[in-house]
Amino acid sequence: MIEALTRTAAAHVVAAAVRAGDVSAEALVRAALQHIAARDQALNCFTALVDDQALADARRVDREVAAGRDPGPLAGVPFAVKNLFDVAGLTTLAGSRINAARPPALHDAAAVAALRRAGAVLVGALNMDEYAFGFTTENSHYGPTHNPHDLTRVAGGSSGGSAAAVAAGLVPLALGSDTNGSVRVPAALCGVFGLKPTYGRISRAGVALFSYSLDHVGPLARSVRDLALAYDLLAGPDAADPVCTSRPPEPTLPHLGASIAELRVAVAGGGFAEDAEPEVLEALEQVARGLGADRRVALPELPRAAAAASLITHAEGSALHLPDLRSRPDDLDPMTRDRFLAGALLPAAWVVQAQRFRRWFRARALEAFTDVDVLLTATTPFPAPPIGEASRTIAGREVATRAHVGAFTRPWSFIGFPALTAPIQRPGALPLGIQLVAAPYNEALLLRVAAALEAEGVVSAPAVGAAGATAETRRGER
Amino acid sequence: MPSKDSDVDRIVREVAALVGLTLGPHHLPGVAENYARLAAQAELLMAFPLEEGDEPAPVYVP
Repeated sequence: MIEALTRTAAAHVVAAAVRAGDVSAEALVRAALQHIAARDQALNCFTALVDDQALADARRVDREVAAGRDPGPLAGVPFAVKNLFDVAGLTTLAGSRINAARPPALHDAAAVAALRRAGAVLVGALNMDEYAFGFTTENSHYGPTHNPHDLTRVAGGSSGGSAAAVAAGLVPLALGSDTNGSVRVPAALCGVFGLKPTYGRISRAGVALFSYSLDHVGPLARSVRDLALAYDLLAGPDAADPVCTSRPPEPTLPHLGASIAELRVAVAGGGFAEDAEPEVLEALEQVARGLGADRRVALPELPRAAAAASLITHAEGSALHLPDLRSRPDDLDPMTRDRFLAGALLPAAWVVQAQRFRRWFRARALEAFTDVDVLLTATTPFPAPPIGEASRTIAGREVATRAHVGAFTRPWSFIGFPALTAPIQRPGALPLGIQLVAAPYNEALLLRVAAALEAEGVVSAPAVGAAGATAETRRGER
Repeated sequence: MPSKDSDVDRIVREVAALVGLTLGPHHLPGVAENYARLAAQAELLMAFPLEEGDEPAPVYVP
């Protein structure tokens, strides 16, 4: 029972077993730590483990259960967080070597604290691209995180450790951050669910930021119910985050099983339907047919939206790290350094135009959602690429692999609309992600549609090995 | 917008000095390549005819 609960079970199933007294949180967490010890050498998801603290937290959960009290809806659920979340007692690396010299955080990030209050047990911190500036988690300081479905391929990024840890069954729930796609891209490439909520919906307090205008926090999980459960615990106002909305939270769990028959679902056209591998567009069409989504909705000016998001990201990220770029540029990861340096050189007019265009593009997207509830796109234009791949040819055009993998996620984080990626299992092939997008604050709609797709077996997180090449069999190729 | 590689190299060196960055020879090719990519994105974006009333959406609350 313990093995099944630690390796494949959903977080809400684990919590139910703990709350019912069927299994102890301590035994669960101990088994999760053993599983991590056995598997993570090959995967490289974790940059820190907090074994002693986790076991102490688990014992506290067990005492609550024994005393007849409810430890919370995530009782005893092991979870882990991208290492840009503050964890009291750990240094917040944000994927960098520079930050490793900083003192440990004094407090948990708001999102970490929220999950712990619900009974979840933090087991460690996860690998990422340096300062979240990447889509592949090819981190030169801490090594790349490997895709659990094929160790020669990237896990995606920048929340690559989060996605790979959930996909490999090391934890059922993880937190990531998403500035241009950094929750959704790795979730799609590793075959798990990921949610980037509306901008300002989940507090970023205690999170090492990257680009103030675009940064979001979101959960990754192996089931839609877990995503909804985590979202409901995380969403809400927080005066400690200046962009966090004061709008009251709107719980999504109560709506999860509601019918989607009346919802207007359409497929995003234009660039979303062109710049991808045929196998990806085929998977998207299959999902669209299943939902009866025969309408195509094209958003205007996608290349300009991508350009504006890129300019804002570079300008804000580089301004944030300017003191280190001036004094110690060679301590940055070669994978990010030159992009940060170039971003420090942008004329103000470019960045202001990008911010003004953001408002214009938001208005067009809102118009698109006046007669559509949910838009479908592929999450990424291709499945997980090999580690080290610099470029590939898509639709006859050579593209930079590491930038183009975020082509379909970037437009939505640019304007802060909520977006969810759901995994498509493909026997003998790597998983893909389908992206569901809605108008602001409509996370409940996304989760409802994802739950319906999950109930029909259209989307689900593949077990490691389902792609035909297990981690073990590919290990020799590293 | 810079039109030649030599323009990009010059701009990168001069603006880097202006903002206090010290670029070594091993930085310059990568920084110039990325700057040229960003300049191309800016060229596309700056050509878009926004109205005077199209202002950003700041979240600053005094």
